[in-house]
Amino acid sequence: MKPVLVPTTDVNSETGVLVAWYADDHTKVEADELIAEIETSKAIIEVPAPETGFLLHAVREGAEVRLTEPVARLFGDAKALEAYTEEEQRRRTEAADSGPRATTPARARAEELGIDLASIDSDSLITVGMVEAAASATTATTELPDPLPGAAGLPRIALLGAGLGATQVIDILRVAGSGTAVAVVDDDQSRWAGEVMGVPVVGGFERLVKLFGDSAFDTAIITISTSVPARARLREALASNGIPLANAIDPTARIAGGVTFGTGNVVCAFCHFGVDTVVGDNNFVSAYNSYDHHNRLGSDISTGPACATSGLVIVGDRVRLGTGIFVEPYVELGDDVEVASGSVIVASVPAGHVVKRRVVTTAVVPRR
Amino acid sequence: MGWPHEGAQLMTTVDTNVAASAGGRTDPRLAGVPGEPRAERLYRRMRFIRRFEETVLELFERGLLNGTTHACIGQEADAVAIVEHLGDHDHMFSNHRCHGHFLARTGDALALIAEIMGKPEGVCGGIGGSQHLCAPGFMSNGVQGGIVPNAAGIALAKQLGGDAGLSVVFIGDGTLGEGVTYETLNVASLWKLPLVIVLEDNGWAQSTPAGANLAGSMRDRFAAFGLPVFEIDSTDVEELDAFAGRALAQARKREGPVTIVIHTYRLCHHSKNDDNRPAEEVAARWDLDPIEIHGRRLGPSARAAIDAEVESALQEVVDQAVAL
Amino acid sequence: MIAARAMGDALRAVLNEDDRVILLGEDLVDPYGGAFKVTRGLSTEFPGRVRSTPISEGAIIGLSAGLALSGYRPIAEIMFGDFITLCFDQIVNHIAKYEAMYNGKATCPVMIRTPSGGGRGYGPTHSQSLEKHFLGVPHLRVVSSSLVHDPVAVLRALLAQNRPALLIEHKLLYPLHLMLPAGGRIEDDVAETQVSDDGLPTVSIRPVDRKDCSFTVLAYGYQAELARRVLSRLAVEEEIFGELIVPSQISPLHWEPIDASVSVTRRLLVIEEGVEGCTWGSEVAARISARFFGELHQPVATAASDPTVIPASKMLEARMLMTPERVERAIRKVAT
Repeated sequence: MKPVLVPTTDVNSETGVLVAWYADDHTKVEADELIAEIETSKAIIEVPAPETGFLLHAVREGAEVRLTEPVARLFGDAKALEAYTEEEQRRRTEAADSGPRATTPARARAEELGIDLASIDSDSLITVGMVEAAASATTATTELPDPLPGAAGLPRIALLGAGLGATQVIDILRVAGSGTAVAVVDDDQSRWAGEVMGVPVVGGFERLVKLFGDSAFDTAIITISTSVPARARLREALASNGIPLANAIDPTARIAGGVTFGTGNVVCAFCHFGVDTVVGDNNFVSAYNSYDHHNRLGSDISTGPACATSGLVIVGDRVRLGTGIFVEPYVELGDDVEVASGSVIVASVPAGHVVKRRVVTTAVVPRR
Repeated sequence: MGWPHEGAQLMTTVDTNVAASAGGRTDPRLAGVPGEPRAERLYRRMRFIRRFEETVLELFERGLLNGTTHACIGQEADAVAIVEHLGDHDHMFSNHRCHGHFLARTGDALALIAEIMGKPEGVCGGIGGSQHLCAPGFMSNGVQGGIVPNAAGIALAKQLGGDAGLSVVFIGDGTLGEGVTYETLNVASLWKLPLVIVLEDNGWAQSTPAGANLAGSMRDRFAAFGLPVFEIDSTDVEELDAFAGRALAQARKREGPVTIVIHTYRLCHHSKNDDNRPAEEVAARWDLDPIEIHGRRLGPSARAAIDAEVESALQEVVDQAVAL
Repeated sequence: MIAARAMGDALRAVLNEDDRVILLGEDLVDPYGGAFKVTRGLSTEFPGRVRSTPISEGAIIGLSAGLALSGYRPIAEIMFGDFITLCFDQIVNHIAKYEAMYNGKATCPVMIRTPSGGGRGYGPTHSQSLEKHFLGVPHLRVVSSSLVHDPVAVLRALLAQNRPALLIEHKLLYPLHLMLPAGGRIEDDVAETQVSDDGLPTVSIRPVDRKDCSFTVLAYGYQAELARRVLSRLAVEEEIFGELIVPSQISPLHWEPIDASVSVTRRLLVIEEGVEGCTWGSEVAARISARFFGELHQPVATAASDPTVIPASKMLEARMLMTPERVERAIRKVAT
């Protein structure tokens, strides 16, 4: 397929008007045959066919064309042209059938709340307000379960997030014995009235705040493991509602002397925190992470399994580490840094930057 | 009510209009007695215009009229001569100095005086005033040159509609300063419109003599567009009558526009009391007063009789107008 | 159908329906068919009634006046709106005055069409929107074509009246397809048409119910299309809901649809491409402020191009002209 561009040296015009087609759509044209006329602000330009072929118009007569885009396409044979047109038609219908008309914020909110846009009865644009109205309508009809009573003498802990992170935290708490998971909350309404490992999903954030007011639980842990923005946002929301966080530290973790933790931290199995390391709040640390002596970790950090730092490393707030990352001593990872899995970091990374890693493939060659 | 004030205040009026030759309010003592000899007719009609203009100026001085006006004293023969050769199908478009043309065409002195007095019974309900008149077959406007393309458009309409009439436009020497005049001469000639341009060159554009206003030749301007020029230097209505007959006969061949240049003189001031032309020049031109030149041809008693008829007819008109 | 072709068809329709219609203008006849090809084919189809003239704007309009005084319905084309200045005397002192100063004894219903507007980099004397200088000329109607008005309906309405009209056609609209309200909608928006007593339509376009719109935008011609696109996008992407009112006749205005919208939204932005200073927007603001004094949430906002010449350099032109970016900025400002 050969695109037909307007032959112009006019640097002043970005667009022109296709004044006339001289060759009909879907017909065969010879090389150099005059097929169209374009008018720019400077001149009328004649467009010859660059080669012999079957012509497919890309614009209508009288339409404005961008001079950098093809006004037509040439195909070697009629079949190729038909195939192309069919493909274009198919793509166009697909795009048209994109479902009910909703604003972008409404679509996002509908996804958050688990509302199916098609279920909203409206012949005009669907707005956030309508989605939320639909959401509260459904909630009104569902009976939400109550939190578990908890165990005597142990803090009752509410978990935010009913995904796989919750399963990890519930497991840690069960073996750590530092508290009991009594309830799970999630903004995805489709999870409500369900349960995670026996712990009921009692509603959304609004319910959480109400339950705290009713003293149904004591502290909270954010179980969302990978999304740093979500962790940070929820921590702020909890703080503004006066809801304290708790730590969930797997008993297999080796915590050295002098180590201090903030609150809301989730530490998975076989982690190591070296002497005098300081850890902030609301960090989700996956299994087999090692923070060597005299490290400083900020808050709202999320790490994958098997990350290891050397001594005297500083990890800023909202840092996201993939899996299998090694960090040399004295390195500082600034706030909001993201590090790709498998990276070996030998120098400090400034805030807001991303560490990428080029993947090297392994080649198999015959022995000489 | 919309903004701007749409459809506002077009006053309803008594229909004061009269067809050019349909009788009605045309007083034969002013417009011409059927059957009278041509010489007397021409004299009467010029006398009518002269006395009308003098009366209007006098009414201004007496404070009975306000606003502005442009009398055509001295040029009466032009209007009378031209109109002798126009009929119902022809249209006249005149300029700010239009009374003579209007009266020659319609004869309706009452409507004109009432208009200048600003009364509802006036030609345009008092809205147009002295310079902006509209009657069947007649229009005038006060912007120099602007009427020329309008008249050409009327000529085009006649051409398109198969109407046998001519469109006649009256301009002055001063009008030759306006660009749109030349634009029109070009198109009218190109399209062979049935347009007649009557240029009354009275030698002065307000206070500026033609010599200070016009470069090159007056007739060559029209010739440059391929237009035939009929030119005459005369205030003798009989000469002008014959001359107009020839010129308009040419126009009726419909081979394109025809220009008529009449070198004449304005004996009165431009509008009111604004005449600083050399007194000797003006005085000399009074010797060529068209009323005198032609009036001498009539017998003294015939002339006096016509003068008296015109006088009493006009007096009646003024009395009627004042009483409105 | 693209607007240029639609206007050509509209002219063809009225030439067919009304023997009195004559077209005059520069370079109208075939095969050229007009500088923007609007009249292509018409001189062949209607010989003698579509005429090319010399480059004499004063005479073109003056002749049209004479034709109109004689009972014809001339539709004159002034090739670029910038040249309408050459017709100012004929329009103001002749055409617009004849009927009134002759106390109704004559009518002079000349229609003048003129391609206007910038955005193509044609430079200071080929890009202007000078219609603002004709607003408020007594007895003259100023009308603008837009993609949402059917040009045949507009021409017929204008011909049904014996009054002069100036019809502005933004040249950037010519290659765009008309978007007439169909089934009460234009694309995905609700579209409502209200017709004035003399047959000129105003279209109101809104993404949601009027009561959920927080502001009104008033615009015509090409700016109306720019505003429509911005409002449509802001509605879907950010839930900023504004109602767009697009009048066909911009002077005198049909106030009912505008009042109906502003009385609900209480915020108005008037957009035009002409340069700032004594504009259409100023006039609308004065009248709306008087009408809704104390009820508006904020003063009537106006947006216009910068008061200077329109540069030929497209980059410099974009800095002073009402562009899609400026339209969006103005809309965002009134939306907050």
